[in-house]
Amino acid sequence: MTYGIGRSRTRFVVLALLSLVLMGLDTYTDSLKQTRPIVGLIVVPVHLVAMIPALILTQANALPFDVARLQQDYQALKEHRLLLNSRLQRLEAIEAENDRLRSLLSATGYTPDEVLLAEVVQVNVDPYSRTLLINRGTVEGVYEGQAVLDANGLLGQVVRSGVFRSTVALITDSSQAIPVMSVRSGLHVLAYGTGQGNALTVPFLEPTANLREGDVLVTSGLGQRFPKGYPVARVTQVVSSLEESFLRVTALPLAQLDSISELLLLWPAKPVVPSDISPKQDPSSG
Amino acid sequence: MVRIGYAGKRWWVIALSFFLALCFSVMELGPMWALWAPDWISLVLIYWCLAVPMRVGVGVGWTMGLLLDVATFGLIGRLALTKALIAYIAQRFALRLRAFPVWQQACAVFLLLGMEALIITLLALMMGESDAGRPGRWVAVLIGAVLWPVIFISLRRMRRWARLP
Repeated sequence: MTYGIGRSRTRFVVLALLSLVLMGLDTYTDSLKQTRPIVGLIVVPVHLVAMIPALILTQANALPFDVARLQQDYQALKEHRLLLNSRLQRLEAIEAENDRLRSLLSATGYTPDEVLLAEVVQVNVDPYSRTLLINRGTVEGVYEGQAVLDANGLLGQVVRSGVFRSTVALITDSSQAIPVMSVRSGLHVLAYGTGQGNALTVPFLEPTANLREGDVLVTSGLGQRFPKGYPVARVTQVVSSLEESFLRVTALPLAQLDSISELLLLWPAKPVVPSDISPKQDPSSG
Repeated sequence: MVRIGYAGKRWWVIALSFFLALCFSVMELGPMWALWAPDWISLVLIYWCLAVPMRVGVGVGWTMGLLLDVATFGLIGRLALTKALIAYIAQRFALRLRAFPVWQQACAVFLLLGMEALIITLLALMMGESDAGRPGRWVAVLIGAVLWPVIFISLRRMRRWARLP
């Protein structure tokens, strides 16, 4: 009944060193990023089996138990659709006009971005980190750095993509910073996530900066990570005090960050090229 | 190694139990439960290290940890390290721990899981992860230790059915 204590000790030391090397590689280089999807294929059956209980539960929930409520929902949706349709008509006219003007300016044409609906699988309710797990992965073409929206504005970006699952960091996560511009003044700033509550902050703004309460901030497309023109936040507070050399600016995200169940993954129609953000076109979008 | 002794033994039961534990680990239990879910892989690993230390040990622990790293989108190598350490200690004290009553084993399991949580927290702090000090991790350790008798009895039944030593 001997199973080699000494042998298992050397094996442990070797494997421990190997794990440390792997951790170092994963943290400081991208070399494991390419192997991750391949190794991920091994655990695909695990994810498939683990999905079964949730599938059964959602199927059971989807059964139409309450006809009256369904009718009520249907009526509300119908009215909402009518409202949206009327707005869409106006937008289509504006879009056509915009295209015509752009072609006159011989600027690059506008094609709509592609989106895909995703569902939230798991929410990290930790007070300092704002991340979600969603049910889309590299199978659907999700990539790291991809922008994620809801119906009202930018939610965040994909920070890790697996085969079937991806992790999304919300814009309020303390690790996030988004290049934005004010719609009113065209001022380019960086909005930082605070990790505390549902708020963004814009640091290092001089007291003379043209930013007011109520300004809507949209993505500026600078940094080439987020496509241009998606609404991000509304400025709620601009405090200037004599003790501080910078303005204290707080902005509230337009996306409903506290009640996310569905979100949209965004594929920009074309890569954001620097020529797109030349000063000539700024007034037209500002 | 005597080959004849292994005839008729269903060793694949061990692989099956690890597969089920992996499934439990990635299962969607809703946001509240996910934070407190015990580490199923660690519990199953400790059981097999105590029951068949000549078959399940550091190598199996490391491999399962690596698979869990990949399945949960974590930092690669971190859980592999902690699982290898758990397997090493459990294997080392297998003969002694096996003689203990189940509730004393649960105390040992509590210490092992606590050690793992401590290492993970320290590594997360070193990597500057924002959720390094989340309290749910320690609740999960306690839940894991409380669940040990259940794991122990069900896996022992499985082991006897499979005619493993």
